[in-house]
Amino acid sequence: MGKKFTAMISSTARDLPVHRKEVMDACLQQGIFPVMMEHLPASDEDAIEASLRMVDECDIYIGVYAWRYGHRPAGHDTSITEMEYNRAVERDIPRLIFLMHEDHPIKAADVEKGPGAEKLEAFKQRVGAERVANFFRSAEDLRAQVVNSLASFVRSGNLDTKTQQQAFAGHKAELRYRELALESCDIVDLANLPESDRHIAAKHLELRRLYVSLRIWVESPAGVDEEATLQAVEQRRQVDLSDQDKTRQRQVRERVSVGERLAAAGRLVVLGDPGSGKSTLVRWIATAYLLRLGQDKDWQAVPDVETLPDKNWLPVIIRCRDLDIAALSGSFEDILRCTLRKAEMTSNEVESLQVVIRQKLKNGEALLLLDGLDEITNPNSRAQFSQQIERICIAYPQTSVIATSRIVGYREMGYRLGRGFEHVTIADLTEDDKDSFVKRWCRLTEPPERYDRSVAELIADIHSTDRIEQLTGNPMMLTTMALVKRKVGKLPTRRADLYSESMRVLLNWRREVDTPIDDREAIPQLEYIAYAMCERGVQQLVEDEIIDLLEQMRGEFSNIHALRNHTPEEFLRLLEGRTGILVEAGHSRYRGRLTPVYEFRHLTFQEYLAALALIDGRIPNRDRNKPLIDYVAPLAGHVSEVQLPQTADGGIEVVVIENWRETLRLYIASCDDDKVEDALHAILHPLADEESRLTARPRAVLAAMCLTDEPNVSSEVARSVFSEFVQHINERDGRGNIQTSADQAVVLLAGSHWADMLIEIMVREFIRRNAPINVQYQGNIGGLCAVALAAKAPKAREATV
Amino acid sequence: MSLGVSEREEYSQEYVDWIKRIAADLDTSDEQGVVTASLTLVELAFRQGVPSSLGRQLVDSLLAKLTQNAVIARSAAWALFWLSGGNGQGRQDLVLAHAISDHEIVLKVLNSDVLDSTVAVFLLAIRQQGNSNRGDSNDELGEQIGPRLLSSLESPEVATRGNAVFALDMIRYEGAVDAYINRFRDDDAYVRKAAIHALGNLASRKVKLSEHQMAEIIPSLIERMQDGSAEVVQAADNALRELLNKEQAVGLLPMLKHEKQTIRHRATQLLLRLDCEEMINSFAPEALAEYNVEDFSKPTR
Repeated sequence: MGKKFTAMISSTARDLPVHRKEVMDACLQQGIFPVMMEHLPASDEDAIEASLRMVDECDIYIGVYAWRYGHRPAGHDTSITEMEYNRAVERDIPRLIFLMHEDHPIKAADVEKGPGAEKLEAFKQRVGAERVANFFRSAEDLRAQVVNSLASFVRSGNLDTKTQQQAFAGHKAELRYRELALESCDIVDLANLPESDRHIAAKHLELRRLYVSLRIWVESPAGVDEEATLQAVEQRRQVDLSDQDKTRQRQVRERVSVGERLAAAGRLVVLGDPGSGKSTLVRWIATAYLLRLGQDKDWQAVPDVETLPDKNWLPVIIRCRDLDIAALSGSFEDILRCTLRKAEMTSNEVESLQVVIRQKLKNGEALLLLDGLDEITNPNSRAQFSQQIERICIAYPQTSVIATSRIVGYREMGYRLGRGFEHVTIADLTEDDKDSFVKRWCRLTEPPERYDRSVAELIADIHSTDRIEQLTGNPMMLTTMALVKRKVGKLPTRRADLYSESMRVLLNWRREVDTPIDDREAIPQLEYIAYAMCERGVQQLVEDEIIDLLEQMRGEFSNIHALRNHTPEEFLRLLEGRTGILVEAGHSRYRGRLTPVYEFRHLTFQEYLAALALIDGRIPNRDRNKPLIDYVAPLAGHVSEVQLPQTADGGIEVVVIENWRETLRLYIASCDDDKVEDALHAILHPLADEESRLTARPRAVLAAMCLTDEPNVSSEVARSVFSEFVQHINERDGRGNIQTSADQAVVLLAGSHWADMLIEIMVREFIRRNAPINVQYQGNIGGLCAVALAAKAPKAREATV
Repeated sequence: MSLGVSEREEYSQEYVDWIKRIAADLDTSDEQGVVTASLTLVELAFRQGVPSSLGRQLVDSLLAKLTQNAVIARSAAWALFWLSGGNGQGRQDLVLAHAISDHEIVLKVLNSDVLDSTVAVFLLAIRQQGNSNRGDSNDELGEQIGPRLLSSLESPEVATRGNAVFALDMIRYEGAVDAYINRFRDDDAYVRKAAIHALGNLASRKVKLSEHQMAEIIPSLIERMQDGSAEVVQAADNALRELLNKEQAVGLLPMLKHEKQTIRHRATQLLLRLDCEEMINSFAPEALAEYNVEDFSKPTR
């Protein structure tokens, strides 16, 4: 005799003891070995495990359902009976379904009411839709029907051993894949925690507990002109990089959940900048569906899970960087094989799983997640791979797909994913998103007794200034700030200190994975590159230009021994791979060939490093006979006209050019105490050969602005700066909104320890001028003074209607 | 404080104490302290409001400052302006506005021989607001204040000229027509616009203008239709709608061939409003065709 088949008898137990016995006898009569759960183990988790193991080990599933939904383990919404059925569906083993007929006599106590009855109804409808169900009118009737069904099933050859073995192998491979995938997705990389926090890094931190809900902006629905849309996205990104005030404007656009768009469009291209959370998004989706498939009680506690489509999808995660050339140019089978082998599955498992995945893709039971299209280095391979994705979509029209990429990397390949793909970008985090992250972060990293205080402190720190608010717009930078706070105890209020600490965190971003780069090697070279970029007025350089700069630096600064640790090419590769400071932002055609383009993760870092370059003298083509202060004075004389925000009478203002404005402020904030006053004077006073009519005001405004960072300068110097500053306040200033650079300076200074001195000087100037007040605009030094004075008022608590 | 809606104040004690200190500063004779306190109230009255329990005290202190030197008087008038609700953007307080409007000091200041245009314009604005509910206006002050404000129109200070125009407009002073016409060519767009607007207001109230005045006004307004400031052009357009008749419309014809499309459209629109379609067709039919085809921001006829 061949293999002895087993049948799992799945039903509620308390109300159907006689029926279960009849089914058991029917199985034995047909030579099939029946298994069923007679007594539930003491704990719910053990009960689930034991029940599902029985389903895993059987060849046939027999479901008998009357009028009870059955026991729902604590923390679960689904009964064990339904879980057993779900597992049988997942395994795709033969399923025989028997429902109690309405004419079947029944005790009132055996009819469940309330939510259980609703769930039972939904369950029966689902089962009925998937399978042909038989209805029994008595226990004996059930026995006869089971005998008949089993007999015809055996006769039909559906229980052929080979098929069963294949299905079982496929199921086992899937279980292993899910286990491995969950391990790789449901983790948080806290590699660069401060030394004193290594114990936290050693803990297994799960994404399901820390994930901050990301939202997206729809850039182009499927079929819309993607090229124009992408161009607009990239232009907006460039504007955002350069304009610190755009964050709020961006947030005005409607943000939607990725789940909502996935349900609506089915196929998404998710675009975003480095650190925006694209990969985290993919890992979160995968984690949610993996937990759901495993019927893990944590599934419904996964943050934001309610926004995902209600499907039992198997997430198939393909990380583009893992694909070799053969896979990239090969078939979908090659891509899958390469991915699964990278996941450390055996070749047998891979073969079995491929069958399962194909079947699920065909039935729309899988979700294809393609992470990091831009990480395919060659744009042609990237385009070729994108075409392959489209072919997959044709072959498996039921399947939902998400592909992620950096914006520039996607655009430069010159190919757009069609076939119904909707293009979306990851939205900046809102204040609420950040608060939610902070709570989760503190829950994981702080002891319970410190939790409340730590949450309040970190939330206050993150929202303390516009600068930090803007810096923490993406998950990576938000985590960076959380790490800085953890290391320092409080986010530094002085910007220069904050950036300095952030730099240290970012320099060690992948410390657990790779050896960190020596600060003595990295910082000087970053300073040199940043200064060159500010000097050229650019925020990106192609690889060749950076290599040239690094070569040049090695010639100019032979005294910095750490520069010899690596060649420029090696250093750049290490910097991009191991830190989060300088990132590859795409490719550009340079000297006839496609060359990678690099930028600082945030313009602030470029400006801060350029400021350090001024302090440390790491300036390209520096004349060693010239004092460093002589480099500062001309920079503040570079001015440009800017259009003032829409005002009734329009107008322009002359300001220090953007390349140097922030850099010079950070320079003053980071300057040694014995040099800072000279440096301020260098900014304040126009040079002899300069057109002071144009530059005097921008210089005075910038010098005043420098004092907002509260460098250690004497009262005399501050007074001289303010005295010069107030001379340049005119009728365009102080109109009530922050429109001019002087408005901005006064508002910032009103919160500094210089506020009283500035106000006193402004009031004196207002009296001295004794000028009429223009009733229409009311802009003048008095108006600006009023703004500063009111900023000192204690909180009024608004009147309530 | 009566704010027109049932509103419950919930100012923090710290804030109330702070305002009390400002009130105390107002009562000193220190110029710097008084100006500082007044300027603080300008912004606070706009942003957060002040507790009603202190409103009247602050108003009385500020009113007393109106007779002091120019810088103190201007600061005080400015603060009073915002305490009573400003230009409609602030927290309107009709009780305070009434109290200020009818106060003898206000009337005394407005009737004084030396009238500062800044102080005048702020006080007139408060009176306009405070009296509007009662149907009163500033008109009765016209004959008294008007002649003194006219001289301010010649001031080298842009703000003084602008404020004078605003003030004259508020008192509806009919004797200012010629002075307004002179300001149509003011160096400052803000003054030009205010003067044209004020003249338009007089015209809309059917104030009789002499033939001689009309002969100057219409060509000047047509000229302003080509002003570099969009606001002046709009004001001129509005004024012409009030003043222009078919006989004078011929002056608009050259504008039908103006290089700027917006000017061509404004001229076409004005002419059509005067039923001069034939005139357009004979002089510049292309302008009419263009006007009919374009539906960009076509103003309603």
